[in-house]
Amino acid sequence: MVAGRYRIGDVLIRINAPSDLPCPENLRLFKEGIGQTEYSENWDREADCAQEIYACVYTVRIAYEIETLIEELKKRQTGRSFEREDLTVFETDAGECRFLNFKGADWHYAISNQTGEKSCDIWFSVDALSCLTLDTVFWSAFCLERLMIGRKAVVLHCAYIEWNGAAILFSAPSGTGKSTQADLWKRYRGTRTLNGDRSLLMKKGGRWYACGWPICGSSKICVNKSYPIKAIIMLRQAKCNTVRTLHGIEAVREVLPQLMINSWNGVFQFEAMAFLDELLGEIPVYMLACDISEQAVNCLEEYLKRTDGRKT
Amino acid sequence: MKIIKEFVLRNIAGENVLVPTGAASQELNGMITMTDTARFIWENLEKAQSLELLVEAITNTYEVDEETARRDAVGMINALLQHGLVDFSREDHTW
Repeated sequence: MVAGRYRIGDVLIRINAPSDLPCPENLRLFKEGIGQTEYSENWDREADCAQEIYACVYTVRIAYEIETLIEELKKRQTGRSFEREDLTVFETDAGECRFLNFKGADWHYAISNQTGEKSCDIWFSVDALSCLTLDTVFWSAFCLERLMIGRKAVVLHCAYIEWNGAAILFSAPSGTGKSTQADLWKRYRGTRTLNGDRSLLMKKGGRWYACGWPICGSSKICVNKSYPIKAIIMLRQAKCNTVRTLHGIEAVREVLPQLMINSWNGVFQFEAMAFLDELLGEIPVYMLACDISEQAVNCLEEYLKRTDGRKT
Repeated sequence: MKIIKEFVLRNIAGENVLVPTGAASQELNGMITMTDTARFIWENLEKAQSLELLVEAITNTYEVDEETARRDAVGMINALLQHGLVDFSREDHTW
């Protein structure tokens, strides 16, 4: 049952959806409290939107003629547009409208149309229903990153592990070995991986936290728990293990490409850069050049203990 | 002279960082770091009516001689033109 309320980071959203809508297994991890769980055509969305507690109220429907809907929505374009192989975005009077398709496909699987500051309509194509169990497909339509930047929270592409009550975030371009390092720490230090692909980073009460994120990619590891961030570890494959602290612009160059940013949106980018400036001012970023042996774990652990999370 | 690509300019970690946005983010990857003078040139390029006025604005702001200011301005504009970030149109005949 998709309908209900969900908390991601400290953001509360409300989803109204048909009861038979397929969804990713991890969805339930983020479900909260007792909300309206039954789908109803007479659902009073205005009343829900008026409740200040929700950052956004989503109405999800199944589209039987999605291309017809798209043609109708295109007429509402009032501002700039952006096109990518798998995405079309344009501005409307109410906000942003997105059409989503799989790379290389000539049909759309979803529409996400902002209808107000805190409300959004989503249509999934009837032909894509079987894919909605995939977290990336399902959540892409909710444009969560747009919601999060408004709360000064940004998603980092990383393997998120917990070590001694703190979050260690292994980040790098895909294929470098984020999950492999997380697995090495699990094997040799008994740590727990909370998300194999992404984590939501946010500041709360003056402290930086890594939070659970409902998308975990191919790692299939998704735990909805938050821990204070100890360090961000940028990874590089190497034959011998070395670690050093990244300073200033060097840290920016490494971390910025791994943040989930809506590159077409200048305001989003500006806020993400402000976010990064603050994050890098307070959280250390290390570069770990490593292989896939226990030595890599030893090397980083020794450095973490020595620096104790300081920006040395 | 007109800046034709969309960029976000911000100071991060003590550096001036220029990041492409909108359609520019499709063509250009990564980011550009700028010295303070380069940032000044970038921010004043569209306002200045000619190279002479831009050089004058630089010498009025920074303690540099005219020759250095001119060399910096020409170098920067060359780089911007080379990367297709600015448009030099017929109306720019004063440049």
